[in-house]
Amino acid sequence: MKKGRLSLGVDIGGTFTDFALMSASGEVRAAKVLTNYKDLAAAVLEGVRQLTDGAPAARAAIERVVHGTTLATNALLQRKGARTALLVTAGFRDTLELARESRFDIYDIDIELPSPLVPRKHVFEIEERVGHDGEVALPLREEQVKSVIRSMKEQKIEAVAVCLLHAFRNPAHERRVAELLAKELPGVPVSISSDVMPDIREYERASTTAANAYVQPAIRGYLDRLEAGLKGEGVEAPLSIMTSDGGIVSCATALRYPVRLIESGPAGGAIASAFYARETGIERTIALDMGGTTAKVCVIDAATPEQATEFEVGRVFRFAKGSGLPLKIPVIEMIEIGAGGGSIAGVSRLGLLQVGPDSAGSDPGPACYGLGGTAPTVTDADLSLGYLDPRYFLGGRMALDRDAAARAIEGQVARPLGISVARAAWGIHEVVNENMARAAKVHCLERGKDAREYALIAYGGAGPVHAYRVAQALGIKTIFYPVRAGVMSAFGFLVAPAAFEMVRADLSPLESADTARITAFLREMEIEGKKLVSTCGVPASKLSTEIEANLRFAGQSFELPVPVRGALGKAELAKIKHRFFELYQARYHRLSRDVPVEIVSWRVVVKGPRPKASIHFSKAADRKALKGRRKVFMPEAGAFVSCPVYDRYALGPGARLRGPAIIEEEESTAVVGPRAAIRVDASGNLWVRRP
Amino acid sequence: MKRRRYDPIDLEVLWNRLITVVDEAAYAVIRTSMSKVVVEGRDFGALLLDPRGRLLAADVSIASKTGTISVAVKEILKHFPAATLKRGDVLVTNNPWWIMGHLNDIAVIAPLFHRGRLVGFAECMAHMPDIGGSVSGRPREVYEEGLIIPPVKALEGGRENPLFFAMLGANVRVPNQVTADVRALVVGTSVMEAKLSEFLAEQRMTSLEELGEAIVSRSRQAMRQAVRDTIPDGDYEGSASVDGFDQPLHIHARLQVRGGDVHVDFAGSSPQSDQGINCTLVYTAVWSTYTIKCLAAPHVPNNEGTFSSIRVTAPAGSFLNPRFPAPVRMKPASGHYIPEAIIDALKDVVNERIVAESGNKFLVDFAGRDPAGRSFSDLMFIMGGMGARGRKDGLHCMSFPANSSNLPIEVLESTIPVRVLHKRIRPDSGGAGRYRGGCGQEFAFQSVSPTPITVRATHGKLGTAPNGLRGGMPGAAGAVFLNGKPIPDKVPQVLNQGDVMTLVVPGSGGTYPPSEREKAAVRRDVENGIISAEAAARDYGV
Repeated sequence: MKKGRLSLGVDIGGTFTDFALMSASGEVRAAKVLTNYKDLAAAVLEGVRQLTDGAPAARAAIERVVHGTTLATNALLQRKGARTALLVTAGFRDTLELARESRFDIYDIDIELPSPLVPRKHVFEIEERVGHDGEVALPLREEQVKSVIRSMKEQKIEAVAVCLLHAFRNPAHERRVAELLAKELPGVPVSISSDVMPDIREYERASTTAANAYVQPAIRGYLDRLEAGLKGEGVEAPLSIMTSDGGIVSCATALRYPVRLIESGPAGGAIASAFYARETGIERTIALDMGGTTAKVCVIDAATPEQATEFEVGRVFRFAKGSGLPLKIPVIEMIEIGAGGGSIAGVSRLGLLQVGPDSAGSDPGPACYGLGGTAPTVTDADLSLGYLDPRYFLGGRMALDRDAAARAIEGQVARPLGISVARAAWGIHEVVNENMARAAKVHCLERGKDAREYALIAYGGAGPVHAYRVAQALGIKTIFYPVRAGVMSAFGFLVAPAAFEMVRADLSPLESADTARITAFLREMEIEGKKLVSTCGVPASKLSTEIEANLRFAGQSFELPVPVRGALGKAELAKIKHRFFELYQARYHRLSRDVPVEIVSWRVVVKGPRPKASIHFSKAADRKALKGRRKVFMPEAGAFVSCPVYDRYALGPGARLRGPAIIEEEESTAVVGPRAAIRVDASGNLWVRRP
Repeated sequence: MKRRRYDPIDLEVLWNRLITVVDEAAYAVIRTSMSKVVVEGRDFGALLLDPRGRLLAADVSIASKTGTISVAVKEILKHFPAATLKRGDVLVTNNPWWIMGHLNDIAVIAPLFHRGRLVGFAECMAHMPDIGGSVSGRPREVYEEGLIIPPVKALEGGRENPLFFAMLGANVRVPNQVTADVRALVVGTSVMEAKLSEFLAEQRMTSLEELGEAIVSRSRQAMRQAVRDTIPDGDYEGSASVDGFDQPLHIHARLQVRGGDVHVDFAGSSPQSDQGINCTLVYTAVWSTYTIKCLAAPHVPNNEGTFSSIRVTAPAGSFLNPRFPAPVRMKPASGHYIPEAIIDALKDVVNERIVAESGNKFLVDFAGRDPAGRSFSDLMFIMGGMGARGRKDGLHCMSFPANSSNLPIEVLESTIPVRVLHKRIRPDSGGAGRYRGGCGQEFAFQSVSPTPITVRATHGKLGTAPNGLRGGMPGAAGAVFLNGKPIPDKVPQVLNQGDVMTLVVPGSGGTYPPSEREKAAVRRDVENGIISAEAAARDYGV
């Protein structure tokens, strides 16, 4: 790798930790190591060593480290976060338990709901009351708070969320409770709702705040170790963190709002997909990111991933909307499915083959890793079907045990169902693909989109292995396998802008808005945002600020965001109102100009420039493209067939092939079915067209 | 015209897109509505119908009005023949015998044109925060229950009919909210037209005729097949009762099931009441078809085909098919129990697809005037337990059978001058069983208004405990208290500043004998305070 300034992207997934190291000229090197749950930072340091070939000079040349992790998501999905307490206003212990009291499916009487992150026994009531206007109706009784804290101590609480009624209007009580907690429970992180998500509706706010607390200890411990570890390896560059909306923030900001990291890894993948969509001119793409634990699906139109202001984590019932936990955070819109290489297969009580959402992760991992895992997983099935080369997993750095995979599948799937190991392995492969396809279809349909009109971008360690069959199930013809598909999120971190979004609730009629006061706090927000973003190493001169006013007709409950373009004053207010009318008319086709318009909140986004990147691919000239042939299972033949195996690094731009084919790279393997047309573009990306 | 054949994937995609068109209309309604009952409670609906008034798609993802065949469009076409309708015309009515059974539900109906041709109708309806009439009395005729809107044009050629909006505004307590909500429904129909037109243009279709036919015929087949698979041919009888006013009302359901067709008849049910707890036949049919769909075919989408194999009849003059001008405004207080009678009839033949009796919900209407003279009026729901299922525990405080959402405390207090004192699960209110019933809740609030507030809490079945099924125990019954003294539900109360109303919502029944419950599940319930240690010992021996 050439000398000069380097940027490093690091993504910790549930199974692998991925690295992308990019030089100023756009050359990207990748690495992938097993995630080490006992010491997450250790895997990062190992990867850094691998990538820099042990050269301290290269490490010193790293001037930017951008990091993301799906740890928070995994902790929520698998309910493996901290032992969290929730403090609520007396009388409202059941806020989380009761949610919105509605069924997400009107007709299905068998629906299930996600269990709250904080069980009822760990919810404590605080005697206080703030009214809807922010006035204190019942002052806080500090003695009572202290006695609650004592009970929490006995229960060995590890993290605390505080969500008091109307705290978004007046945060005084929450702040005081936080002070008392800091004093009486030193070291236990505290999240207060008025800081994490200052918006009306107590259930959604409590759910978001509880999630913030639930993942905080794990994230904190880990980021601390990582920062120290990197310094120890001679990497002096500050650590920046990817957030769920595709922006980058400093470590300190991430520690305060870990709930905003929930989708950081997948956000990186979506940003990278958008980068490729822009570079290659694909109009409509569905990004499929399949890793070791979960798969994520994101719809990208016009090279822009869809954004949302809320996110539902862990849908527990048939991927149904409403069956997960709501989080109010800025996020790239995508869905997450419990389907990954580590997803465990088994036979359900109904005698049906079931795959996921439980995962073997990387510890003990799939049976074929030989690390003590005995449960059959998707990776075990992929290996048994010949899709993976036991001697070329991770480029040969990890040997897979084919017999162990077969034993696990035989014992826990084939024998109980009375079928062959091969049939069972294909069944596992097919069921997990169907799970992903079904979820993707629902996601598209909810948006009124037809999956068949899209191209599929496949990445993540297991994405390329499964993409062809998922595309088939979705009726998608074109599949795109970007270079470095195995470290896509880490690469996305490198092309994402530094950014931070802030929202401030401030209800006021538009006509009589106090523009001087608003300008003052917007200025404060902008300064704060610039401070937060410039800690990511972006010079202040390169930062841009976007301001939006969220407006509605007085009495409504939903707002439309309207851009603010000039200095706030009478003239700009009139323009804002005009823009609101235009947007409203376009969206709803009707308008009543006589109803007063009100401003509900202000949104300020401070953003750095999108880092320039031009991916540079050099073909490995010294290697033969055809590595050999091996027996792989192709359902079209209903049997194992002899299939050519190619070295992706030796396939130069312009190369054309025909399926069936196995195309291997270090981080992943693309499995392509019979009669498909395969070509390699100038940047080294693979394009597959299904027959 | 080219005949189009639909393979199963094409049909699924087009069909789901059509449902998405309706969903978008529903989103537009909540995003522009000014009432909490719509935005938070989700008490509204959006339907797409063909030019003959046959239902093609209904929103079930956000809206909570459950569907049945729309009578409103067919009736309204008798007054305004399709050929006379122009683009931009919007018709409106709230006739309880056509729509959802009481005057508070207003429906607007708009013809949908694509390239100058009538391709269907959009119907959007919602529960209004007020419809005028008496809030303090006990109406004995529908005339006393509020403004009756005959079929009229709310918009003509895209222009609002000022007379209609003036009449509407003059007759309700919160004119800004109600007229805004009717406009929100109109927005729903406009969005539906725009999205439908986009869809048709994109698909190069000129009408919904063939797609509609495919949807309706597939659904009819699927529904009949599902009924055949779930309910053996035969005659079944079941019953349920509700509190009523002076005496209980009796629901008697007789089901004739023949080869996938179902006829539900309510002969033998109580005569119509002089109080507003009558269910018009349309509304009786809503709950009958809903229940059969839950039991047999929850995943068949709602359209004409889905419901055409289910016929619902009730003797004219019974409370399930009352004669005009019977009072009807509290129809949920009886209609929500129709599913109990049908489940009672089928409980022995539908295997695991059962739900024990549920705790239902309180509908709480608020009306008053602040010291500045501004009116407020809105509605909220407080849910009881959903009964234990054939394979699973019941759900705490879950809206069943009617589906709506609660009103967040913070939104309630910002809208109505009350302070909520507590909202908590009632331990031990879920009936014991192998599968435990869901618990109800207790909800107490206090008036903080210097002026009086009229509050009507309607439930319908507080006095009797919700029964268990197949050996499961009953859940706890409910009650209403004003300043600690028991009061009847359904009767308007005046709350002065400081007065406290407490709503005790019933739990629900369990299924199968409690002795069959896993001990670990009992212990978990005790740990989380869902059942007391005494109840664990008494009911489960743990």
